[in-house]
Amino acid sequence: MKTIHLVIDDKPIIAPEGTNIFQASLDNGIYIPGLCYHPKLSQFGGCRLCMVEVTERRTGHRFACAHPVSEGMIVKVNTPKVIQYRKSVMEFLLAHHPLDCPTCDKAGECGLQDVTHELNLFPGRYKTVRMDAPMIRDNPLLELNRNRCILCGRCVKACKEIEGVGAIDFQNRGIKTVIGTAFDRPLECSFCGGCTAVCPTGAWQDRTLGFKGRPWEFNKTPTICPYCAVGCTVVLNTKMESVRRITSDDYLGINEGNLCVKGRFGHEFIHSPERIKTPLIRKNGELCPTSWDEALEYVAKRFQQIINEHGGTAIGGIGSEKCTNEDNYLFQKFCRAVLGTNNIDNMANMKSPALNGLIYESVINGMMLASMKEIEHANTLFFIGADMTEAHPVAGGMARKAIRLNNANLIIANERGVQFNSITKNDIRLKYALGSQIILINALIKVIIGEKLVDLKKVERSTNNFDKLRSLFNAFNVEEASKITGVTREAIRNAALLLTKPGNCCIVCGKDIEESPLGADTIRALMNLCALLPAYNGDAGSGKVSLFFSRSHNNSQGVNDMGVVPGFFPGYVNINETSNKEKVEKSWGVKFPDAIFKKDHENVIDLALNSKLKALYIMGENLIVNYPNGKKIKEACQKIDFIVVQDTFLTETAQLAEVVLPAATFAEKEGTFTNMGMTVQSLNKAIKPVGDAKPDWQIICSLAQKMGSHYSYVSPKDILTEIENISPMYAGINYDRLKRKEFHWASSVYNKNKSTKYTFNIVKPKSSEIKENKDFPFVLLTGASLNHQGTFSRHSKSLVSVASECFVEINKKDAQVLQINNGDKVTIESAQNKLTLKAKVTGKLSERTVFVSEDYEWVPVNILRDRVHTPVKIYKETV
Amino acid sequence: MIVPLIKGLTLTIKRFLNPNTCVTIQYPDERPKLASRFRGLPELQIGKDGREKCVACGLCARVCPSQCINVEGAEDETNRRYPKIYELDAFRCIFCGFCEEACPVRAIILRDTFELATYDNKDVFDKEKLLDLTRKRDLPR
Amino acid sequence: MKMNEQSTNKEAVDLSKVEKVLEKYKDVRGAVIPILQKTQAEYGFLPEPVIDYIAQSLNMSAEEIIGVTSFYAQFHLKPRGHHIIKVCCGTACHVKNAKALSSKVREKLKININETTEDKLFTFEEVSCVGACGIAPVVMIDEDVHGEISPDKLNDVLDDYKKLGV
Repeated sequence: MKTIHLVIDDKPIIAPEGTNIFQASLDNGIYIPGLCYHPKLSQFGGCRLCMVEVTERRTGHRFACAHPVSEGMIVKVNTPKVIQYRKSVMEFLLAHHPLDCPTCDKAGECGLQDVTHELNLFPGRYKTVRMDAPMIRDNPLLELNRNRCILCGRCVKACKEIEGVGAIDFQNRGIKTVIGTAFDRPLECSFCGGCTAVCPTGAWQDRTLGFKGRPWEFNKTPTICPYCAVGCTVVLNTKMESVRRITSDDYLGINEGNLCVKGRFGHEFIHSPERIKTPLIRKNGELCPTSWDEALEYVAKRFQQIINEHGGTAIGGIGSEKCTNEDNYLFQKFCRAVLGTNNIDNMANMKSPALNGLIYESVINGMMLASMKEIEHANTLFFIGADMTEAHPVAGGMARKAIRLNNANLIIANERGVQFNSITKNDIRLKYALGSQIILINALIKVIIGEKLVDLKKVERSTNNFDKLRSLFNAFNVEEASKITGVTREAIRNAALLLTKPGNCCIVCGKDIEESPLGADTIRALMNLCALLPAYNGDAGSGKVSLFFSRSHNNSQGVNDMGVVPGFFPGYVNINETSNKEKVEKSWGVKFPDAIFKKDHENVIDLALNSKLKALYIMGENLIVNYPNGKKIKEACQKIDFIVVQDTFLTETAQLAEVVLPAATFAEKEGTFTNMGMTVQSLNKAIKPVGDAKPDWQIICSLAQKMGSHYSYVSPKDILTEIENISPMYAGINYDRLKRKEFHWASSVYNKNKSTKYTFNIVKPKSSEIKENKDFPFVLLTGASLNHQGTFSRHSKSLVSVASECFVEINKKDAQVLQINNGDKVTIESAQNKLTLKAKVTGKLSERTVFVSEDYEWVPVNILRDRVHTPVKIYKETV
Repeated sequence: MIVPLIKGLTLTIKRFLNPNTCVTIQYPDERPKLASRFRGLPELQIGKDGREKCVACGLCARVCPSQCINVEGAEDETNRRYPKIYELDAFRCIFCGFCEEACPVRAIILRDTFELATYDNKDVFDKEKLLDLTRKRDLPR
Repeated sequence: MKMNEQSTNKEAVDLSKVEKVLEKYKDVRGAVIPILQKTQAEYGFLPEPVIDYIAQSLNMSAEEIIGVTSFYAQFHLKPRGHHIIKVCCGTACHVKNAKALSSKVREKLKININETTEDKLFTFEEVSCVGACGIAPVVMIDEDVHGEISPDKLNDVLDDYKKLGV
């Protein structure tokens, strides 16, 4: 990119071409007052405050935010004339502004206040007319005070450009202009709170703060969000050891200050009265509070007893997708070294067992070398089976940025219609028939090979097995594929054309695919597709392919990296190789019994069902609700004699336990999380643990102590150092460096282990059979929810108030046949169980399918399921 | 040198000869007459509606040099901002009057309460205590 | 976002007319204003369900559409009367006491500026200048210009229109 040399306030500056003067000064630490410009939004030029004087090249008075830099420009920011101009503008802005700073929560971090103070304004000359517009409080999270609004338009742009919602806009004109919704209807948006973050005045406010503190009183601790796998940086505002609100920082982390409703408002669970504050132990069938010493003593005694009687393999362990890497590392170390069992697993791995291997394969083949940020630089976006709006809203915002700035093309393939608002011209939606995803991907490959959309010779040179792949596709018929998938031939062809365009290509593979029975094959087919793309094989500079696998929780990736899986030691080190085993034994100073590692490891749940487990140690998971086929899990849990649960709340699973240990939340501990883009980011402790709760790693340490092993970790820092030594993937990770910058493991692993050539997987095109079932004619689909995720959101008052009800979504036509209207009570019945929910009629779903979000923890939709596409029947409840 | 000395002595002699000031006040039987601008304990004022005037803006806590004020704001049913907790640590207060000066709604005023000695050292004035001082005065509102 | 599915239709509005308009502009980008103009020509004003329908079809939010409609004086979100009374308040008319004309309308029809009588016969507007300063004060009713008019005369004129009916 061409660079421009210019001088701003006697400081020589180099800026990329096309930057405006405002951004160039901002990047170089020169302050220009401005209220409507925001680096992450498009420019507007509404507040008129950023006037500067240009004395060389295009001389005159210019608006810094609307004027691009040019070679040899000399800019003066504070000439007397400019200051006089700014003062007059401020006088106008303040003419209507109410002087209620003492009761306005923005005071102290208010842009308007700052500029007023900076310009040292005298009392205005204009007669002030107060607007006295009523406060708009039609929802529990955001409030709009139009009196304070200066019509800078930042909120309108943030809503439209980042969140893609456009729930607010300017209305009327002239002096009557206001910000508002159409027909003054109640605000109906995704409640990301982006408007409060960008608002330079107190017009938009976070209602959940409720005057509970002033900005200057808060200690601000940046840390990582505990909800989805994007790994946004949230800033915890704490006062007197309690979290009062969450704000965002535009310059920290990967999210540019964008958050979703969960990230910004879902913090109330930290101080929820329902949190477990002391260890609980079952006495006479009831869980009673007890001391740490007693609880740990008891657990240690029981574990020892079981080890003595049945051997260590009679104990199972479930690691947590929500706990830090350090917690999980220590958990697996404790289970393997102290308890002597390899029957450990985590929920992510149990739901899609092949995924870990496939992710590692994609890394060493160079398909996932970028962090999540890469989505912003994409030229083509391909979301397959991924619901970005609901599951990873902030990543969706990144995609919208790519669309806005790079004109990125968008292809969304899914078995149900997913909402994704964008402004791109090339927006292709492929809604394929249930279970036919492999055929769709193969059809794309066929089109690419058949029409020679890429340089096939080059592909052949740089990969193995291409001949075989090609011969497989000789017999493949796109027409037929189009019939099976229900996607038109033109759409498939257009998608293939967009995918093969030069530039960066970002592919996000979603949960709908990962958890389907054909998930592994689908991902292999998707890797084949990646390997064909010009961005993968192309010369340097023609862009790159980045594949991302959707993960559900904040540390779903980390828990697998840390080896809380039966097949791997930390860092995907194969457990069955003797050399690896010896290395770990040496490092841990233990000797593993030979019997604990088996070639074919059985699922922990199956072991429990077969009565092979006597004890189960669960860290931070609510299996009964969050695992498909909750009924089976409940049965399994009831067969186990001794269950220890370590969690923040008394979940359904914890209620079955004999001992419950209170764990600290993300705000109360240090550690690291690994997001779905393989980026390791560190947490910062903001407050002391609530009640007697302890961070998970400390609990495991004390438990190990009680069982006779001495763990001498003082802080998570020590654990991370050990992880660095033992796991080849995390080699080079440094705790102090993490405080400044995140660590991305995929690239270092690629450089060490890169395979010379990609070998095509031969994946036969097949689709999972959805049998016609007379008794249960519908298929139940589940997915993520924007407003909820797991136990934490359930105990966050604000999130529950904004989304208090889980709906069952039904196709319009089916609803017509069954005479179901919006809000009717509908029962869904499967062979396992039944559930009654309110109905919501949508046009998004295909016929004969119903959709229920699985993230509302109090709606246990998983009790209906036994596999991904569960046959169900639905009927209207008669009152 | 001699002039200031004489000036000082004049004042001393004047006070000494004045029948109103030359006698020691028989405290506590006799109350001293305090100047109208005397700065005693800060008191929370009561508004026309019978509630505290304070809007919990926190400026007093911010400006307090000895950091003896703790304010916790909250929102009531009518969306009015009020102090849920207003604590003033009388042991740390240095009676500088900055809080009175900073208050945008004149909700805190230092009046003539100066008898603050207690038997135990946990005398933190909470909101009700500070309001009671004003209630007792029965001032015109 | 979600509002389109949930919006309550206060009164049933025939959406087939707007469908026809949208069909015509199906492949045209940036055609919000012509669509709104044509739609208003069909309905007389822009009812709420119609705006929602347009927003949904154009993949925009209703707020953006409202942003456009409320900006331009040519779009109306409320039903309008059969006859539009425009009282000129330009300089010349103002000098010739246009205010008395406005208050006459207010008093006679019991409506304020930009309001419509209950029988949907009249809508009352004040406009800046109709360009007929020579015959000030001026009142325009629909396309007819009534110049050099007095409040009493206006009273008669309005009576005539009332008799005329719809």
